[in-house]
Amino acid sequence: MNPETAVALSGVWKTYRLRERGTSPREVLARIVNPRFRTVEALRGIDLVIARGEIVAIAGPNGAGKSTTVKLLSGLLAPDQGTVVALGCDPIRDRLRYVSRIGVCFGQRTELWWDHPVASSFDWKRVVWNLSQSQYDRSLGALTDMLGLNDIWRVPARELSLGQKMRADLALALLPEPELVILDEPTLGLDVLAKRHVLDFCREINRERRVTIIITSHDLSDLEALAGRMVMVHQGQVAFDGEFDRLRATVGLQRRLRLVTIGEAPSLDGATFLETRDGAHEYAYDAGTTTLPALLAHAEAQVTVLDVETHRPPIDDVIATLYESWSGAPSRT
Amino acid sequence: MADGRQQAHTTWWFLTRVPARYSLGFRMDLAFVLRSPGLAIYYLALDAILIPASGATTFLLAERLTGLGSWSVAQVTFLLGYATLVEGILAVAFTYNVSHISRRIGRGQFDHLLVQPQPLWLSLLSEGFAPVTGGAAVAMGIAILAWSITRLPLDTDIAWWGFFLANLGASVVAVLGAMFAWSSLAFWAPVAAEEVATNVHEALTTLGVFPLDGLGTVLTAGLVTAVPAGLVAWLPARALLGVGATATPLWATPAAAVALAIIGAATFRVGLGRYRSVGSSRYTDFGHRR
Repeated sequence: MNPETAVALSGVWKTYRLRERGTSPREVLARIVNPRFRTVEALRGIDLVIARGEIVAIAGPNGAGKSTTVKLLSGLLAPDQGTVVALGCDPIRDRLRYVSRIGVCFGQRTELWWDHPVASSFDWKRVVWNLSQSQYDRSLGALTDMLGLNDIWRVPARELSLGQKMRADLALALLPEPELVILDEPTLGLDVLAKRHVLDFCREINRERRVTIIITSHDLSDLEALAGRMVMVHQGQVAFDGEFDRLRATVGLQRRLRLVTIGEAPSLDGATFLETRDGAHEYAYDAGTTTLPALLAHAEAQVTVLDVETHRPPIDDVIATLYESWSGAPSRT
Repeated sequence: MADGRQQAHTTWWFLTRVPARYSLGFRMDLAFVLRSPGLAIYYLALDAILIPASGATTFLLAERLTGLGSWSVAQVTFLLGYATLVEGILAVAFTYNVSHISRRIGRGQFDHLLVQPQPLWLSLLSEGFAPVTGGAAVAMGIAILAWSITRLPLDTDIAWWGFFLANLGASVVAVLGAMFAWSSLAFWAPVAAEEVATNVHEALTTLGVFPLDGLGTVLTAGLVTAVPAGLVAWLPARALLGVGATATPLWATPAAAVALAIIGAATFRVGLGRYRSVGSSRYTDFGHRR
């Protein structure tokens, strides 16, 4: 493997066999005698290469296979077929060597000792990860500055807010100065400020230490703010792999037009009316096929235009359009 | 950044880490107690009362009937002290997540163990060490045992104490073996079996304080194998005190414990293989538990 490669998934298949449960008592009994199973192909021959120092976002609709991908990379799951190589290790066979070099943070589950102050969890981590006192002091010093741990240092984990807990968990994952950080929904339930802290911090450690970061989130604007590269998984395969701008381009040069007018929302050829909010009418149009002057001329022919604003649609809308196109549902962008 | 972490460590190297883990457990447990002394005293007092109280029925019956079958009151007291000490050792060395291992498996919290850079055996051996909060039961067990031994005509030479310690360790191993064997069910039925460890522990604690002589062969066999309550105190006390018409070999409990440890480790290993294969899906992407 190229030493500059952090992670390489090659032809990875992962299949789950799920037992189908009955609904009525009779059906439940029948299924005990004659069990039925359905097969779910979580990953279908996935190939993925991530270079050292990259920040990669993994996204996809529910059940797309992103959790399975994260578990494979964390050494929690073994692939049915194909190979997973991360930091030159097989995450399952070389588990101890591998996990000593990675940091994993499950946003929805804390690693903190529940009834103990945050400080105790860090002491625990120092011993279990066998960190030298100098490494511990250096890393903790940096983390304390960046994540503001001082105010929660002596507080038991059970008394922390969601945002504080996330900060502490993130710091705990990064204490051993890992080369690869896997963040599974790290912004889950966080308020705007806490979210910004977490994202800024990730950017900083990536820039300063060239740490490779793999992040999943349902909040796609978070991912866009952090990651340079987006991998979208759909039905167990990589449906998109590239930069966010290229992702936007896959659904055309979509733009939003906001018009403030005197009177009703005008009907515009080449644009789809979305909604009227706070006196402004919003339209979606494809800048590749429809020009803005043409739309404005059309509008002014019908009403008096007081203000105009164009912007790109939020990344969530772009992704929603993709999801809808994958599922065959009508899209609105 | 990678420093020495690239190298693979040997089992011996990990064994040398055990004292550091225990020292950490002691520090954390002591700090926990000192942070809230009132609560700690409450816990310790509760343990000191409740753990021996679990054998109160047996003791009162023995006292009322001047013994139980072939067991004298002092022998029954020895059995109760032994059971209390076994419970105390479990409370000192294998508490927290280790004693709730099925919950940990069933709820997908096993993931946290798998991302630690140490073998599972080291995690399980060290992370349930709470010598301060679990100490009351040990103290009570030793006190009851000491009191009973002074009332028994025992030849407590070095060999006897050696067998005593071997049996004591075996009883602890037997309980753990049974708990881990049954808890492995949670690898297959994470929701239904998530509290199995607690149930097994309760069953062993409740039944472990009774002399089981006089039960049918099948029931007795079940109580020293599948639900080894008989190994908590009855069989080892019988062997150590020479109770009953036929002598119980002093190696009986250690042999049974080895068998249970092998079964527990083997089933756990098979379950772990399944966990590697199917993982845990108890948590949704949004953090809710199914």
